[in-house]
Amino acid sequence: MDKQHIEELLDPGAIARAEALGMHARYVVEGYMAGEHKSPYRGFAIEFAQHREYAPGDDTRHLDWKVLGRTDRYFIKQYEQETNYVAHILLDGSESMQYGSGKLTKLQYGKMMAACLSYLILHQRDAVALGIFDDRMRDFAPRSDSKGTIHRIMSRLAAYQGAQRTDIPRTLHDLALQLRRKGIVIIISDFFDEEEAMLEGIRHLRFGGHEVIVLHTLDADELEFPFQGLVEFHGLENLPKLLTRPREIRQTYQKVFGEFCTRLRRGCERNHVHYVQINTRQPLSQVLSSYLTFRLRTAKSKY
Amino acid sequence: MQFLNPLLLFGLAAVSVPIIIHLINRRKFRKVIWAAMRFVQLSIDQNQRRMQLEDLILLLVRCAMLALLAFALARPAVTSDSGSSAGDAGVTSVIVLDNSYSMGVQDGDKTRFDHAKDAAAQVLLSLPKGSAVALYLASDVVRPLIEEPVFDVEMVRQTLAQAPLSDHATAMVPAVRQAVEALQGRSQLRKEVFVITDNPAGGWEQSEGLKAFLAGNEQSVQTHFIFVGGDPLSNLAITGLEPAEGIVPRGRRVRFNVRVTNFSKQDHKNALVRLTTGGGAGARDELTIPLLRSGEEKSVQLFASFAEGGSQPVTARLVQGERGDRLPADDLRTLVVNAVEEVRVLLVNGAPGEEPWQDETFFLQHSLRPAAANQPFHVMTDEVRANRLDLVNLDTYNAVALANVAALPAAFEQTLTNFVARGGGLLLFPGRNTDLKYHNDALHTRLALLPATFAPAVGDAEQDEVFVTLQSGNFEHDVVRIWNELGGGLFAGERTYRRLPLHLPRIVALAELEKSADGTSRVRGETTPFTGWAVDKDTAGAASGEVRYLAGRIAQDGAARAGLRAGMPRVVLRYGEGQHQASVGDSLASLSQLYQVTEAALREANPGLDWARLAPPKRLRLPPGQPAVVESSWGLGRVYQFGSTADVDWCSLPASPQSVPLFQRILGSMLRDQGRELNVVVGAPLGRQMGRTAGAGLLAKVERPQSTPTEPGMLSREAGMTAFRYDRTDRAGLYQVLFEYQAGTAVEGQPPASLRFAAQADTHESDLTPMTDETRQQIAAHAAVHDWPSASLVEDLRRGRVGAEFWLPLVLLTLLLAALEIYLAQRFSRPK
Repeated sequence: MDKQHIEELLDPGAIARAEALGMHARYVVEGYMAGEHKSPYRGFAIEFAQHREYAPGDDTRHLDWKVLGRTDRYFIKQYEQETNYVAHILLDGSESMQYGSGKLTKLQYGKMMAACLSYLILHQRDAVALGIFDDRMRDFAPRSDSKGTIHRIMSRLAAYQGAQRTDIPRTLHDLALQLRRKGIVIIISDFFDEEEAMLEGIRHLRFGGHEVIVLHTLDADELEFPFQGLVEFHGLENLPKLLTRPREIRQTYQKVFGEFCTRLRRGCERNHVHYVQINTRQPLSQVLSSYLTFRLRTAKSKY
Repeated sequence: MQFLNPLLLFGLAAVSVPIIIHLINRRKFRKVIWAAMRFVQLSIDQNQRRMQLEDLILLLVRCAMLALLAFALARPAVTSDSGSSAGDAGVTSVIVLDNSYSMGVQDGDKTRFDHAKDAAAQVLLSLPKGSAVALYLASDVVRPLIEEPVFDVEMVRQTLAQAPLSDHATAMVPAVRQAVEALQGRSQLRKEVFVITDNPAGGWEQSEGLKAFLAGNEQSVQTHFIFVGGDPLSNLAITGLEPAEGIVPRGRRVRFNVRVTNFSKQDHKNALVRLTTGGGAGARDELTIPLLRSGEEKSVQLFASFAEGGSQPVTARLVQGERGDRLPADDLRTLVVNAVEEVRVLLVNGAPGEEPWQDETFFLQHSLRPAAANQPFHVMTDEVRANRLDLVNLDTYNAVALANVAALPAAFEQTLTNFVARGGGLLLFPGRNTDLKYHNDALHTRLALLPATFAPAVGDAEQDEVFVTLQSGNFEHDVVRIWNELGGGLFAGERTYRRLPLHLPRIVALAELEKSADGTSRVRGETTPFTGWAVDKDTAGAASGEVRYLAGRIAQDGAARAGLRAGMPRVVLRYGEGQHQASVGDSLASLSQLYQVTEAALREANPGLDWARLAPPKRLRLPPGQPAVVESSWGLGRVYQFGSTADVDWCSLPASPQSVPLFQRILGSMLRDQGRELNVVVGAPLGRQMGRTAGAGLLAKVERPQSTPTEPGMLSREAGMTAFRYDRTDRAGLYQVLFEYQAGTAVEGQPPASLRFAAQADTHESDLTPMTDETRQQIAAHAAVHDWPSASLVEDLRRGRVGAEFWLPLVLLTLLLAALEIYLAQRFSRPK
């Protein structure tokens, strides 16, 4: 992963603005470091993993005093979970995400968003896992709280080129079965799939105790349908062509599309899932900061 | 239902244009790679039926719009009565107003021309709104006052009020043709021509052709004839005025023939005819004709003398009380004659004799100058021998007579042709010396100077039993027509024993000729090259309305050029019956060829003759009619070609008492030619070369007849020569042209002397006999005929108009559809 790719994916503006909110974010993503807040993880427990010899620089708070008393040797206790918060970022890498009317496709925007979020979470010394899926999980970066992980994530994001149909429900169900520990699941997708099935998948995740955040990523054209004249639409994901005069169906389209978004939003809300609709024309920094501000506000009131 | 522009119905094909555009547009679309297909599909599903319906409606509106436009442009019309409810279509019309001088007939306080204007005003009144009118003045020339139909009827009314009468003759047929043809190209439903005229029979001489023409155009152009003539009128007219001998010598009493015709149905008694000179101010001579029967024409001889030379006017007038008859225009006739000091004729003697009376020109000289050498006479003759022609200067002569001249020296050929081209006269007599080949090849074929070729001599001058006589009557040529009245038998006694038969050239229409591969011209369907006159019948004379022919010899280029200067050959005198002494080798075919008579005519003249055994001493009878004297114009001059000698070697005519008036009249005709530009038919232009003397700054002022205001004449200057021209000779009478220099022009000397011209009206116009019922019926078969005055003319004209055009409602409907299309297109394309 070279520097260029990192810069491409990490929107400096977005990072800067999000960092300004970083402390607040830390409070949002519960952890022992934010002990004054209620943890979102119920029945929370830290399990001992192994000992290793103390090395200068280690935090003395982790010294196993019992071993020191018995053996007079300095051992550090290592735990299986080094952090108490894991964010699973799921990026829809299907072909429909390839659409983009501006400089960026939805996938590129999603990649940037995923990268920024990963950086932000790692920067707060929380753990992050990244999954890129279409009809199934295509790439998965296991959770890690190491800042160095960001490079791996970047590489995976940059290398990924989506070209398949999407199957969001299956992916969500699979993930819900795989995740044993509760965390936050952030889904970045256009959600062009079966609504009920998707919501079922989300419910499955929620049932597993995960907090789910839906970042509904849409292109401006998909919202406005601004085309003029006679247009032949060539469907991504191998859908048949459609020839029409968009101006004459614009209102219907916007209505139908709006209803879809509304249904998705309501479905999310019913399952206590944060639904955020993102227009790829909006600056990423603005999107992240406004969401984090919102989250901070709602978190305070909720928890 | 009919379509006035049926070709534009092809525009219906434009209906396919919206469909084609639709199909093309379906191929012209933008491709968009799209993710949210589900929602587009859903939107389309919800709107599909509506969009298809809207598309269909728009397509139908557009197709209907184009179809209606195509229909409107094709201009549908109905000609039935029921169609008039759709609107009263305007009429595109031409009013042809006769302004010939017979329209000047007084009928109460008004002339026929005033009545015609009243009728025309009624015609204008009868026209529906939106009509367009053109106005032509018609006589023997058509003068459009408003050439193209205009919608401004008030302007037409004003132009009509100012329309002038003329002294032109009536020839309505060309005017009707022109008016109908002017409307033919137009695509209006109603096209009407109104011909308002009196109805003298003379104006409808070509009514047969008119009938066919009207029949051919009946469907497209409705023609109305409105006759303003009343009952037949009595009219006495001067129908001719000419110097009896043709020559008008200064200072001598000159006899003029004045022809007076009674066109009335009643006899006329005591018609006083007066001849005056100097425009009425000079001396006068008069004579009363005791009785002039109905339809009779009489010539009276009156004398006048001219103290001064040059162009002098002479006027013959019928004196009939203060107001004259009801057509006063033809009660006087003015002629301008060229009063000459003397007439000089050069006699070229081709066979001098030992005694003067044996000279070839002896008799000719005495015929031309029938006076003793010391007596004054206006004709002077000089004689020159043929071998001295090189030395001759023809500038001082009016005519040249070549008698028995073998051939002309080459230099003299040029002198002679220049002389004739300038207006000189030429008489040519053959004889035993005549070189036939030279005359035929050079003078006839190459120079086109002689109107006929000479055939080899026939007859024997040494005997007096076999001869031909001259015609005894039915004289057609102007020079000899007077013998019809004097008693034709005067020539019948003259015998010709030997002669060179005159072969007139063959005359065909230029259109009949075609160029063959070897470059020569041939008559279509013939194999031998054509030699003769080719006549372009399309070349019409501008002046009198008669068709003049452009003659050209087609055989050789040079000859063709020369032929352009030659007029049509005309026979002056013909031979009567005669005999032919058969000789060895004669046959029916050879004699037919030699005498230019048909074999049938020869057979008929010689019934019972065994043509297979023609040999001496058999004699054949020859049918009459072969030309003895032939004439044609050449340039400005005139050529007379005789078939026999100028002396009495071969014929007796030169010694006959008739030879004096004959040669005097021939000489007179030549001189009249020299002064013919002084007299024109009404409508023909006046013109005169002014020479080099007149310079820049010269103005010409034309005093017109009947004290009308003076008008400027046109002076043009080309190659240092000034020419005068004046075109508006629409009134008969004397035209005097005064020259003066523009004020401030620095010139030397006096302006040129004044000129006098006279215009004469067509005498046919004086015959006011109405057209026959038969002619009227012929016209009425294909046109509407009305009489004026009539209280119901407007209603009659309106009643005849049925039908209407539908283009306007269609155009309005098209516009409505266009507006609807714009509205629907806007409405349908709104975002939904």
